[in-house]
Amino acid sequence: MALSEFEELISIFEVELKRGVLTLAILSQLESPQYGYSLLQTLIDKQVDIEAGTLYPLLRRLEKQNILESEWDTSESRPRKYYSLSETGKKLYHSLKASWQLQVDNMMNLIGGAEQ
Amino acid sequence: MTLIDKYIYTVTKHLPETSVTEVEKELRSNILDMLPEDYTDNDIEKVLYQLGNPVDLAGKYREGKRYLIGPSLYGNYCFVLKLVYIIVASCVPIAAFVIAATDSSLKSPGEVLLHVLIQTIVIAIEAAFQVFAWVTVIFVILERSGAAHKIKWPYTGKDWTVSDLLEPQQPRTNQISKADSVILIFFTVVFTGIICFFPELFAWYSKSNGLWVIEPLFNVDILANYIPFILLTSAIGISSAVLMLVFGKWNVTLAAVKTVHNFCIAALAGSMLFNSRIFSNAFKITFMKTVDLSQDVFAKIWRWSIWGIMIFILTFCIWDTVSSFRNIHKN
Repeated sequence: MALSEFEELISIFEVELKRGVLTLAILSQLESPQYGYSLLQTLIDKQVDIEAGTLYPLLRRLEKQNILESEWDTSESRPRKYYSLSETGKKLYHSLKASWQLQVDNMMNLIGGAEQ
Repeated sequence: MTLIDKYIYTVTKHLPETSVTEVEKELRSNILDMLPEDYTDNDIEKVLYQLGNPVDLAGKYREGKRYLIGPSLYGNYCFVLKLVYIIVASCVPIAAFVIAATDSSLKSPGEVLLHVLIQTIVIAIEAAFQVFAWVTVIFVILERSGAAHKIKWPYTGKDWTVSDLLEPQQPRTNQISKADSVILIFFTVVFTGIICFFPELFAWYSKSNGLWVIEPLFNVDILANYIPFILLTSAIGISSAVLMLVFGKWNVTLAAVKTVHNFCIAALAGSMLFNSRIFSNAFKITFMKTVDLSQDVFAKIWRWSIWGIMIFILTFCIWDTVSSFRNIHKN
């Protein structure tokens, strides 16, 4: 297999692997309200691989699903939309966090760390 | 209009009206956040490229399903489409025949036959589009209404159980079914018997004044020259069928006999079809008059038909030979 073909294959699988994790990453940073760009900055600072064009629509979708709630802050020079976890969102976040932890434990068991 | 306005417009253009204002406001706020204090046009460009293709972005903002039939229904959709096509395809010739037979403006059987052919093609094309449209519409409705998730084990609406499972179909092997040999022998004997001993049965049958008028297809005395070759070809054919019964599976000997047989069929068909004297003129004239065609047109159709039959026979012989050899390696 040509190198570029293999790289393409990797990227397909990586995208699939990261897709679900992205929501969890977003939820984790919204226990206190943040606006779109500040959230993007926070995530990028913490090495999360996410693009602006992916984050903004995703925030909107999560709001539609009542996982996030939003509020326009008009006190500054220009309005900003602040997102934070709703009650449902908080519950979802905690439950997802637990299942993520379980997943990590199970995976570490499978693909192992130093102990194997 | 600034570059930002244009970008936002391109994104929101195809969004549902209810979300346009909100997305517009949100996107503008986000873009302005991404820009430095005293930004230049260059900075704007950079931010817009970072946001990416506006149509892609619009796609991500759009809510609801962005497909007609989803993966959970697609298999069922293809299956139903195929099934309906098979049912319709078997009804089309019947419908065409009914239409042509009840059309009082058609006088001769030739005209009726021609109409059946034309109607078959017309109805088939029309039906193909209709079936596609209706099946698709029904499945789109199923998809949209959420009924898709209720269709469980093939269309029963229930969960599957082990008792629903089918016996696996016998895999194709190089085994030869006995029926194939028997059918081959039967048709070889019938065809050879008729063409060698009762060639006048191939004829144009018409009724005139309550009496059957029979116009044979072949000039019997010319056909007689071919009889030894026909008998030889049939003998090879029957031998191959007997060998099929004896061996019970495909092997090189059998494939070789098949090849010889097919070669003889093709050679015989070619030499007979392209020998214009073999077909009786009386037959051609009766045919021509019945379908009411001018001599030129009829001659052309006749020539095409001969070629058509020849190509059909040739294709069949080649296919049969090739598949005989391929069957050897099937397990």
